[in-house]
Amino acid sequence: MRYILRRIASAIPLLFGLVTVTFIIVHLAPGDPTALFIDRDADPSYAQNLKTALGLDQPLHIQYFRWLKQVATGDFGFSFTKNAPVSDLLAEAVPRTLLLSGSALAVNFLMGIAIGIFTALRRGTRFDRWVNTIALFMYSMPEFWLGLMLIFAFSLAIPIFPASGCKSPLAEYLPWYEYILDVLQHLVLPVVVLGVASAAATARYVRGSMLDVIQQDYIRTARAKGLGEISVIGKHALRNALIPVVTLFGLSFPFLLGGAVIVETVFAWPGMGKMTVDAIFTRDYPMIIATTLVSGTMVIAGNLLADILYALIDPRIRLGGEG
Amino acid sequence: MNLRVPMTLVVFALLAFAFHSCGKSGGGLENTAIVALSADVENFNPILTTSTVSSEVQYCLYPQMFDLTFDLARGRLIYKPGLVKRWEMLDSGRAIKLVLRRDVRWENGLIVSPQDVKFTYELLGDPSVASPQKHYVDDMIFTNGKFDLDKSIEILDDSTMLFHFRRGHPNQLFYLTIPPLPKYVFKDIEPRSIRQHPANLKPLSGGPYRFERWTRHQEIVFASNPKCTYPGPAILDGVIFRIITEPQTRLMELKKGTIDLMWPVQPEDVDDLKESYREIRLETLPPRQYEYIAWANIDFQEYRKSGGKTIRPHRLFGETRVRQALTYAIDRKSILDAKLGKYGELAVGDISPMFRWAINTNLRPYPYSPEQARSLLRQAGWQDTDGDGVLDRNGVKFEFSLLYNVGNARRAYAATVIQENLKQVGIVVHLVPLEATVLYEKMNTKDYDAVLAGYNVSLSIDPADRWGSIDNPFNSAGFQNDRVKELINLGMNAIDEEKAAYYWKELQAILHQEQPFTFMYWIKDIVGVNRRLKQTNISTLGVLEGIGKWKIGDPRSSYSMD
Amino acid sequence: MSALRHLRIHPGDVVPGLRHFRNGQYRAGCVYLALFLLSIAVLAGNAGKIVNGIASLLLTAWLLIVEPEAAKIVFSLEVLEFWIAAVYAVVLPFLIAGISAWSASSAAGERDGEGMSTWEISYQRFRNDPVARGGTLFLFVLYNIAILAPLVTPYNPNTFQDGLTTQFRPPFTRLTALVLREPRIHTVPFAPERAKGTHGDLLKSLVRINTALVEDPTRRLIFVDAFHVEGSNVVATQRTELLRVPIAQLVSTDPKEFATTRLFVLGTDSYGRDILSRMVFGSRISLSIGCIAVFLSITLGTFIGLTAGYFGRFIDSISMRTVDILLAFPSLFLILITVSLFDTMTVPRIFLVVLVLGFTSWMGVARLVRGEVLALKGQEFILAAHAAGLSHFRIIFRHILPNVMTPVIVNATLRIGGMILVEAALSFLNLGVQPPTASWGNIIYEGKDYLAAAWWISTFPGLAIVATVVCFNLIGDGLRDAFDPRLRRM
Repeated sequence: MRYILRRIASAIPLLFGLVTVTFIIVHLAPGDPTALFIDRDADPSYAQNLKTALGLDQPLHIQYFRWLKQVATGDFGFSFTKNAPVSDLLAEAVPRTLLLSGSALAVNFLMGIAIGIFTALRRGTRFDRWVNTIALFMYSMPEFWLGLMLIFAFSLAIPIFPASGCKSPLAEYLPWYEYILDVLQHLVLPVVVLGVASAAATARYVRGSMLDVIQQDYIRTARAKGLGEISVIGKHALRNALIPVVTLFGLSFPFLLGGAVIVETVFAWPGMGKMTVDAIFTRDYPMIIATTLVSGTMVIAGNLLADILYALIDPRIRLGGEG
Repeated sequence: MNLRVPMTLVVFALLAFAFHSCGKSGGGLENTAIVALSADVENFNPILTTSTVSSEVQYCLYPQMFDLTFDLARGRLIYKPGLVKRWEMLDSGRAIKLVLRRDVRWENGLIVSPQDVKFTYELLGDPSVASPQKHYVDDMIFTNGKFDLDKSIEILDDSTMLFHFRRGHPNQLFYLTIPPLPKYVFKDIEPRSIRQHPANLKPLSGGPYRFERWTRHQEIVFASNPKCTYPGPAILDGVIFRIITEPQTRLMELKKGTIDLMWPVQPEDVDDLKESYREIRLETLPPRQYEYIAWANIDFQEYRKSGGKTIRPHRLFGETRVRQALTYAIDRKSILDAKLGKYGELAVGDISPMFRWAINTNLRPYPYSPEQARSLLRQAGWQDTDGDGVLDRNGVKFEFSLLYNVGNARRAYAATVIQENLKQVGIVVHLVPLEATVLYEKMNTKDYDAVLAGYNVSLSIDPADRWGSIDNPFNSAGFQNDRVKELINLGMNAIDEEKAAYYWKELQAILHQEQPFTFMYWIKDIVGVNRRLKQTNISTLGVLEGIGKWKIGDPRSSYSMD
Repeated sequence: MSALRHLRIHPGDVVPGLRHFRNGQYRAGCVYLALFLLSIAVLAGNAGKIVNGIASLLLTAWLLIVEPEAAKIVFSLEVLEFWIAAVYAVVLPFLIAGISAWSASSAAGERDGEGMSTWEISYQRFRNDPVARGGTLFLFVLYNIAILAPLVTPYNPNTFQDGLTTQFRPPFTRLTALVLREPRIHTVPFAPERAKGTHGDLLKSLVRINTALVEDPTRRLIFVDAFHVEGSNVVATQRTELLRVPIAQLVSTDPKEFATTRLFVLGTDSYGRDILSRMVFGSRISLSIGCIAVFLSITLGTFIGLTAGYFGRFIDSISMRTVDILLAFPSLFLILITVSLFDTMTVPRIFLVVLVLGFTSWMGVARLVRGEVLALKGQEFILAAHAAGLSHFRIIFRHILPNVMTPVIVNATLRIGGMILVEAALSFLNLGVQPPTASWGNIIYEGKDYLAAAWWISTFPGLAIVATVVCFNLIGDGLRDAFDPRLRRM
């Protein structure tokens, strides 16, 4: 328990650093966000007024502290370009991204672990080699390109899956089960890119970890005791083999979000990633800071989660861990 | 073993549902039109929006001041009574008396009153609102450099109001076309925080549709507004706008029949649509937008530094023959052929071919002639004296950056062609694609040598923006010509079109000779409409202008009409 | 006797690969022989250009000595590309011969592992890994093609003409072209003002050579869909347009001679540019950015990791907290934000991208190095060095750094692939190198709007990325296995 608390406490300065670094980067950059919605006709005083209205004319440190205070109260400011509170926009986008990255994560680990175990047990077979090769290729493939190829194959050439968006236009009017199916259909291609591609990498990892375990003495002992193969693998080997996978699970969080930026852009999935890209291009400062903060928090939370799970599974960490 | 059959059935059933949901079969949507928008709207407040998409959607929500039509045969805007029942020009056009209808109501039953109209102009003219449409008050009365609301707009009684202008010209009516906002909704908010007002996102309607729902970057849902008294509730049950930014996806949805209307259709897709999709009708809009390269005619940097005192020709583009040479050197026809085909025409000047009466038909677009360009440049003293393939003069290389905005495939294409064409005559062009924000900022401060951009022309001719004072933000070339200024004044104040046309034609001839811009081409937008949608009445004014009167028919019956 | 035998030059030694055959390594022999023959083919096929290129280089060098001002003016990047390609084309056969000879002799002298240094053992192990060897071969070819790009590409990657006929052509399209007597657009004439100087003739001939070097031969062609002769004119069609070319302007009056065909192996893009040529030139960006950025990141990471690990205390905690914070950013977010926000017109985007990639990816290396240093610090030889009173500088550079480098290099190889992917992603978001310069990501970006109509634009560069990254990963795996047997693949 102490260990967990300590880990949580150490995450707070990290968050703080994250916010500060983002704020500094964004405000150091050239480019004037007011230019977008002032007509070129407007005289300079209009721009000035707008800056005042948006608080952009105040010294940086004042803007910074004002913003910190707002964040602490759950207010991320107002998006200049979308004319809406950032927190509203986030509230719309975050669940969609979570749906996408959550499904991808599930596919990634379910598939990855299954294939990993399977290949470890059948190591050296043709199947094992194939999986290894595919994993290598998947790992080396640009996500956006895979996305485009899937769109070409399954949306344009053989139109079975939609190429963009997270649901059909009129999906709300459908009965709930059809609505869910519709969303699932939209999920397929992005999840394949995000999840299946990384499942290959996970499988490789699980396979290695499994092989390590299988060669350990206690497995040999278990076998020698005459336990059935299923029991040996299922009860003894698997549990130990999956411990490092837990770390991988936590560390996958940032990957899925980082990957989601590209995938959401390719598939026009209206989540955080796409919103961030839009915000970056339009210099929507509060939006950029907020999305970075949220995703950074997820990264930190992911790491924290991995550490905690690890500690729960493997007591050695709790006892000997010095940080 | 016994489970296998039911399982298979379940899987098939699931798949069937999945594919079924692709189609449009939901209940109660038969009488709803689905329109694809190429971008999300900014908000629903006409005085705070800049994009074309936003203003198109506003046709659903606001009563229009006039019933406008654009007479293509004569090339002029025609005003018919709308919310304004009658109007009268007084004091040789320096004042206009409007009589509003008394029976036009907002969704909540309140009457659309002169107070609403005046309030709208109050916001427009308030600097702290920073409205992008503030030029609508430019010709009204100003006191001490500030817009004077009460002197500009008088409310005579509950249906009559009087507008005052600084000068009279026949086009003043145009500046009264902005739709009114409900004062009742906005009156309590401080003007400077109007952008944060929730009603911008959830508007009170006074038009044929009422707002139901807006999911950002996805869809906007409007339903017919039964309380609408003018122009009356929409015939459709509702309209759904889907925001689809990818041109490919938009087209695909139109082909699938999951959207009823979209624009712009890319010219390269037209043949396929015509051949294989007979249920889709294509409508071409008149050329209202053109693209151009603005050359910095004067040294903007010097001009800025001296606070507008030093006007020195630009080191490269300061000379007429150099600018002519640039136009000769750019193969505009090849860009037109590749990207627009017959949905575009080479531009001669910046008066739209729509305004037939004003066009100087004696002028021909510059042909593509690198030889001509080279000889003009040589005359101007630009030669390759050092053998590096790049022209130079007095040790200065002919080298510059061309700015344009990212995200427009045609412009990126044009920029690449321009770069390649100019390389052939020994000019080095650095392409600088910029985000819209950054580009606008640079255009605002005139911080560039050359910029490739596009412009949507207004429905009335007003060249003062472009060719008047250097300080005018739209005078992107820093063009300075006394005769042109004179002509603008004469043209704007001319009593009739014939007189005005005389001045506009001379103006075009001067611009053609001077080439402050290289005018690229006029663009005709193509609208793709599913034939089940009737009475769309798409016009120059806007694609959605007649959306209140749209009707949905039986798709099958329409084939025979073909 | 045996020493004498080594001195004698066997006729087979001159041609690479033959010695491998003698040693019984047929596959390796074939590879070296093929590479050698290819390089000779490049040399022979471009003899004119290579001679011109080298002449241009020598003349410029001479001019640089006698009249530096003039040399500076004549210099252009396009010509520099040719210099590099020409010189490299000449060197390449020797390079291949050298590698072949070295490989053959080291294979012949392969020992059992006794008396070998760890490096030798690792090298031996790496050599015996067929997969890693294949990857190395592939990348070797790829890098050579990139360097020789101006000589081996069929078309200029950036020029285009006759858009109506050439755009959106699928792979393996053969287009008809009319051959003109003179290029359609002459290169800008040289107005030899400076040529009046003392070395005027020299300058003039240099410019002539350079002009010939960079001249685009397709400028003498008109691509058409079809044509027929009508009196003294050739009437040709380009999709919707009709074109009349006087026969007098063509190289010959005989249709067999004035018309030719040109092949576009991987098709053309929306402008009508050859995809293959663009990919070859684009490979330079993708291949170099990955390596340079990784070099930056390992330099920075090693430096920070070393100082943090070696000096410890607050230097350690400050740098490691910074690392923690930066690692908390989803990496792509950080890269996107910095690239897009710091993008100004003054710095070419390519430098910005390299810098940002380098400066946002050093954290992992720093952690790795720090860990290694901490482990090393307690070891006897370091303690001994301290006791001997050696300076920190000397300890770090002579004793610690060499021991840290192995994992860093292995790590770096594995990172290059990732970098190439990130660069491609940036280009795909239109934040990479600027047009018309091609890079793989940027060709995919340009093709994405035409997926349905022209799938080949986006497809092939993607395949190239996959192949390259796979090879880097294979080599990385191979290196890791070779240097660190503990991590050997099962």
